[in-house]
Amino acid sequence: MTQVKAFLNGIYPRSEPLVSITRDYDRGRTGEQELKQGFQQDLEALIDLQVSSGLDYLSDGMLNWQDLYHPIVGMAEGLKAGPLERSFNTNTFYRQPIVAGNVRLQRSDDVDSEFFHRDGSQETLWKAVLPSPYLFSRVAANEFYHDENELMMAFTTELLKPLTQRLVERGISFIQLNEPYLVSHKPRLQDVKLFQEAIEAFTKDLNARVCIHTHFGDAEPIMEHLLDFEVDAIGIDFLETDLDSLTGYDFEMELVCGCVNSRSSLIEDEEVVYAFAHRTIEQLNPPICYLTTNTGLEFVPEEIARNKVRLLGRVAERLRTGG
Amino acid sequence: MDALQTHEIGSLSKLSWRVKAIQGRTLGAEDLTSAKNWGERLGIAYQGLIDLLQRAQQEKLSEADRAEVMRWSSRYAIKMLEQTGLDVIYDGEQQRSEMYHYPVSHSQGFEFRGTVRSFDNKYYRKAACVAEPKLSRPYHLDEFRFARDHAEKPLKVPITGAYTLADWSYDEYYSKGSFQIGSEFGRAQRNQARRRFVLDVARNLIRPNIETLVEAGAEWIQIDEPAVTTHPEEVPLFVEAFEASTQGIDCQFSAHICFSDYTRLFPDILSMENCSEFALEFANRDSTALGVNPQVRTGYEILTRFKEHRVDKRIGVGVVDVHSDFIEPPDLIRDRILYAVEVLGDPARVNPTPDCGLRTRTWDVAYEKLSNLVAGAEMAARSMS
Repeated sequence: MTQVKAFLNGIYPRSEPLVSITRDYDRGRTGEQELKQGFQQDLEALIDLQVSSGLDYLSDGMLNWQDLYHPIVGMAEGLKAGPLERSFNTNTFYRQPIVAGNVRLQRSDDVDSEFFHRDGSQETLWKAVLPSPYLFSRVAANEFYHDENELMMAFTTELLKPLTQRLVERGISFIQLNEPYLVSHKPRLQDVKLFQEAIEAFTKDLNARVCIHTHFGDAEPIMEHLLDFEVDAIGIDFLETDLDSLTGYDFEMELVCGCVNSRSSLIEDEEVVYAFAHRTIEQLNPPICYLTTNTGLEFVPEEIARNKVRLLGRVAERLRTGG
Repeated sequence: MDALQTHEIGSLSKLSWRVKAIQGRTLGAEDLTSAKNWGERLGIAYQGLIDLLQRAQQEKLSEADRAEVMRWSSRYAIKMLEQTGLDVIYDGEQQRSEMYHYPVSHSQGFEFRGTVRSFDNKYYRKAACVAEPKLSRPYHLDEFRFARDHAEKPLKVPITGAYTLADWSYDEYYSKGSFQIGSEFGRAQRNQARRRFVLDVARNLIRPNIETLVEAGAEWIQIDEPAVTTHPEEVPLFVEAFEASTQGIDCQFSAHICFSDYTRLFPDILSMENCSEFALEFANRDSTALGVNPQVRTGYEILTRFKEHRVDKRIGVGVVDVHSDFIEPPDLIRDRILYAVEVLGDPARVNPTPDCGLRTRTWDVAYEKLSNLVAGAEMAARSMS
C-alpha cells in the first residue's frame, strides 16, 4: 500500500510586496530591517500555506536564495560567484560558481541562520533542497580540479555532506538533491557510475531521507541506473517523462511525483492530477509517493504558486482517503 | 561594408526625472539638476524640459505632457549615444517601459499575471496569452519617427522578437485544455500549441510592426531574441519565426542573442537568409587580462564555431559587460576586437558592441563604457592599418 505525501519542490516565488521591498533595497530606498521583515512575513505566510494545505514536509521555500548555488558559494572556500548563466531551459539566470581552489565548507555558523529557516517545533518534518553533486560539477567553471568528476567528489565530501550534516542536526529530515543535468544532457556511463559513488559517500551514515530529483528532462533513459543509487527516493518530472515508459522498472524506491506544472499559469484540473497520480501509484506501486510540482514554483507569480500548492494538498488528501 | 562598425544594442537606463515624471512621483531638486547637467553636457537646449518638470512638481501631468517627457528622454539618449562616437545608434528605448512589458502591453490578447524573478533581485512582470495575439497599432512607429527626425547618425531599431515574446509569456490560449500529464501525447500537444503561439506572434505582431517601420524609413532592424537557446530543440522554431517576421521585406535585419549557450544555435541558424548580423554577448564571460590569444580571450571561444561553419554574416561582438560597473579600458576592448578579427578573418565581419542593452547601468557608466568601446575600436583599426 503506497503512502501518499506532498511537499514543495524547490525555490518558491516571493510575494509582490517582497518583490517591491527587495527592489527598493537594491536601490537604496529601504533598509536592512524592512528587508528582514519582508522575508519574515513571506516565510510565515508560506509556512501557513503549507500547513493549511496539509503538506507533510515543510520547506522555507528558499525565499532568500538568489539561485540554487549562490548561498552555497558564499559558505565555501575555493568557490566564487562568476558570470550570469541561463538556468537550463528557463528565463532564469544564476551566478556560475567558479572553482578556484580546494572546495570546503567554511561558514557553517550561518548555514542555518541565513539560508535555512525552520521553526523550533520538533513534531514538524522539514526538508531542504540542494544541488546534486553531478549538477554542481557540470554547471561550475572548474579552474582547479583535474576534471569534473574530481570536483564532484570534492564537492560531495568537503562541502555538501558537512553542510547537510549540519542541517540534519538542526532537524531537517528530507534532503532533495536537484538533478536536471543528468536528464537534459546525455551522460557517459562512467560518469554515472562516479556520480553513484559520490552519492554513496554522501548518504553513508546520514540520518535523513535523500532524494535525487530529476527535472527539465525525460528520466526514463537514466532510470535503470538511478534505481541502483543509495537514496531513498527518485524524483521525476512528469511534464517531461512518459509514465508508461517506466512500467517495466521495479520501483521499490520512494517516488517524488512531479505532476503539477510549475511553469504554467494555468491551474491544473484537479480531476486530471488526481487521475494521473492514482494511475502512477497503481502502475509503479512505490512505498511512498510524494506529490509535488515538477520543479520549484519560482517560475510563476506567488498567487498562482499558492493555488498550485493548495491543489497538491487537495489531491494528496483525496488519494489518502480513497477519492 | 564598413569594418568595425560600432553600434549599441538597445536600452539605456532612464534618468530619474523621466522615471518620476512618468510615474507621477515627486520630482526633487536633484532631478532637475540631473536634467540640466546632462542637457549641458550633451549640448541640448533643455529649458523646455525644465519648464515641463517644474510643472510636474506643481500638478499632475497630462497624457500629452508625459509623452513629451518621454520624447525629451529620447532626445537626451540620442545625443548621449551620438556623443560617445558610436557609428549607429537609437534612442535607448526611452519611450518603452521594457523589452517585454512594452510590446505585450501594446498588443491585444495578453493579460499580466504577476511578477517572476529573472535573477538576484531582478524581476519582470509576466503576461499570459489569453486570445490570439493582435496588433492594436504599430507600437514602435512614433518613437522611430521621432528618432529619425532628431538623430544625425544612422539608426538601428531594436524590436523584441516573436520567439522571445512567446517564450516569456504564459500560454493560456493555445494550450488550454492540453493538460495531459506524463505522456508523449501531452508533450506533443504542448509542442503543437507552442508552434502556433510563436508563429501567430510573428505574423500578427512582429511582421506588421516591421512593415510600418520600413515604410517610415527604417533601414536596419535588430530583432532581439534572448530566449532563443532557452529550449535548444526549438531553435528551428525561432528560425521559422524570424523568417515569418521578415521574409520579403526590404530591410537589413540582425538578431541579438545574449546570455545563452550559442553552440545550440548550430546548424539551424545557417539557413537564416534574411539575417545579416548576429549580435552576441561575450564580454560577460571573458577575462579582463590584455592579450589576443585564446588562453586570455576565453569568452570569445564560440567565435571559432562561426568560423568553422563558415557563417558569412557579420558578428556584433560584445566587448563591454553590461552587468558590471567595471569600465573596460580601451586597450582591453581593442584586444577583444582584434581577437575576434583574427578568428573571423575579416574586420568587415566584426561590429564592436556592448554585450546587451545598458539599462542596468547609470548613464555615467554607460557613457564611459560606450566611449571606451569607440576608442578601443579606433585603436584596433589603427593597429590593423
